[in-house]
Amino acid sequence: MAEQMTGSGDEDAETGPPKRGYYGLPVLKVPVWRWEVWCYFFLGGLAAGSFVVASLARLCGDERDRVVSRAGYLISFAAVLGCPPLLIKDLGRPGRFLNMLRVFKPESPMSMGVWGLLGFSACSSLAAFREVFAASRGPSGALARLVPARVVAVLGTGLGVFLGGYTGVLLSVTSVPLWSRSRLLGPTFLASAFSAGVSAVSLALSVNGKTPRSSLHKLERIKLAALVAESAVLAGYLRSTDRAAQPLVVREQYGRQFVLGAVGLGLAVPAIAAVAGAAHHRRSTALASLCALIGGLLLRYAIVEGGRLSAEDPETTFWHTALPDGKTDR
Amino acid sequence: MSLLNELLQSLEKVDPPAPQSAKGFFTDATVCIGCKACEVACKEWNQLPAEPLRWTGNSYDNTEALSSTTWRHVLFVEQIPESRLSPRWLLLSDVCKHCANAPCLEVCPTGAIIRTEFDTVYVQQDVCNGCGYCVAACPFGVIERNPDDGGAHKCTLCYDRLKDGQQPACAKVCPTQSIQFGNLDELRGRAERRVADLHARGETDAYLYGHDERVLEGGLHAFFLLTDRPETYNLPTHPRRPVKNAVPGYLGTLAMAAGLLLAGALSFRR
Repeated sequence: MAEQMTGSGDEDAETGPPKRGYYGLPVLKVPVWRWEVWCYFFLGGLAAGSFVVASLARLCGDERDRVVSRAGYLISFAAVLGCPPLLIKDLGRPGRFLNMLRVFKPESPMSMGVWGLLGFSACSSLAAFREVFAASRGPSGALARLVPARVVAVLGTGLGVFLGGYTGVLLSVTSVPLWSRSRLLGPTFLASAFSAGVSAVSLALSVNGKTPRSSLHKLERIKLAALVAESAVLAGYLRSTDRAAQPLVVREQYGRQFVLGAVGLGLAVPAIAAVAGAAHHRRSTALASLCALIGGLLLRYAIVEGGRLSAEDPETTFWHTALPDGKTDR
Repeated sequence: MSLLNELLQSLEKVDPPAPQSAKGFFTDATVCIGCKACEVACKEWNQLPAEPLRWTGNSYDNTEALSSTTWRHVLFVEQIPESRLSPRWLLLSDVCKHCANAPCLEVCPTGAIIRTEFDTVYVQQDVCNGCGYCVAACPFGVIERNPDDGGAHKCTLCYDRLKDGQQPACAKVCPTQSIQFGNLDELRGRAERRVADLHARGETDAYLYGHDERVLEGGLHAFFLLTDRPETYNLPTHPRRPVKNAVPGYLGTLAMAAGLLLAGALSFRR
């Protein structure tokens, strides 16, 4: 007959270290969020990042940088279009998605996110509408020229910063150790959103031979800054997540997607390319930008899917919820 | 005109029911005999479907965990030392804790999860849209999204029975008073006296889990008397409050935004 040794059994030191937990069953429920959520996190970040870059070009750049703001606003609009369908598809009862709008609840990052996305979509749509129709004749052109470009740029930048970062805050406001041990997931996702946005704009412009070289150089500089910031905050996130970060580094879990994909392809390759002066070669710029985009998607993939493994592991949960000094709180 | 009135009527705020005294559960593991009458009574009263039977091999526990269709779960812990001398059985009927600071309620983006007039935590099924945030937020793995109807479900503390002045089905049916229902302050006093009594009789391992504000900064309205570490009953010793991460997370995001915007603005200006 098999000997079941569950519980602490402190008095039985001869049977090895006391086993914690209950038949190894998870303490937490496995999160229900799947591909819709990491795809949305990526698209929302991309929409936010490209909008912010476009607005910076519009507000701080010169006349030649207008191509940057045009590409950024159009990419942002295209990306933001994909967000609502993913968010609705993700629900258990998709027909009730409008219930999200019956409350405004600051303590719930998801509630704030819905309102933030709503406001951001309005700015993104207005900016894209102006870009497309401002030069045309007729009523649509007149209407597009009525859009206050600078107001929309400033307002959308504020909302875009929120949209890029809140998804990380949303994950950290849970009980899943991989997501909630560290409080740095918000800034991590924002930096990644920014680098994805710059990369998408730079990819679009580098395949277009008419883009002024000066604009591409400026984009490369911003991209490098975003990549450095992202690397630093990601390192801080991993450090403070400590042993709960296991799903991101173990090869059999999401180690390959995270280490090779998000860090190698998404951070190292584009950073090296930017330092090596890829801005002089349009094809290298395009390739490095593509790598950064794929890396940004894999970052969210590994973290969202890794959360499921984190929740399934009772030992990590016990470690995460232990008292600081190892007391038992009786 | 009448159609407009009808539409406007649905927007009118209805006054919530008058607050009652806070109700809760005191579940005493030392008198549980593992009969699972609570599991059955809960399923019957709440018309919850049975799960397909699966032999787990984990003692007499073929239920394994609370779920969207199991709102009471009896744990069976066999502690048999190598010497096989003085073996110990730990039994406990687990349930939703109806936390004073309930993470599921705090993160719910639709307002579907509410605090009732009895100070219990309740999911309004006609509002829940199945976003799944509560599932990831609950530190006890209680609430779950049901794949059949897509909504989040958990113990209601028999809200319908409470409204009629009845006690919850599990407490009513418990043959050993391991599950006690009542006014929270009364239950807490009773539980403390029970621990003192057990200590006097030599069961010095007995202690209360969740009766004061140490767990989740406000305590649990369904608390437990245990005789081993919380982990033995698959309970976290010191669960953290998820919402505590929100403000630091936003502040970090803001700092990152300031740095990136500055770098971006400088790059374009030059």
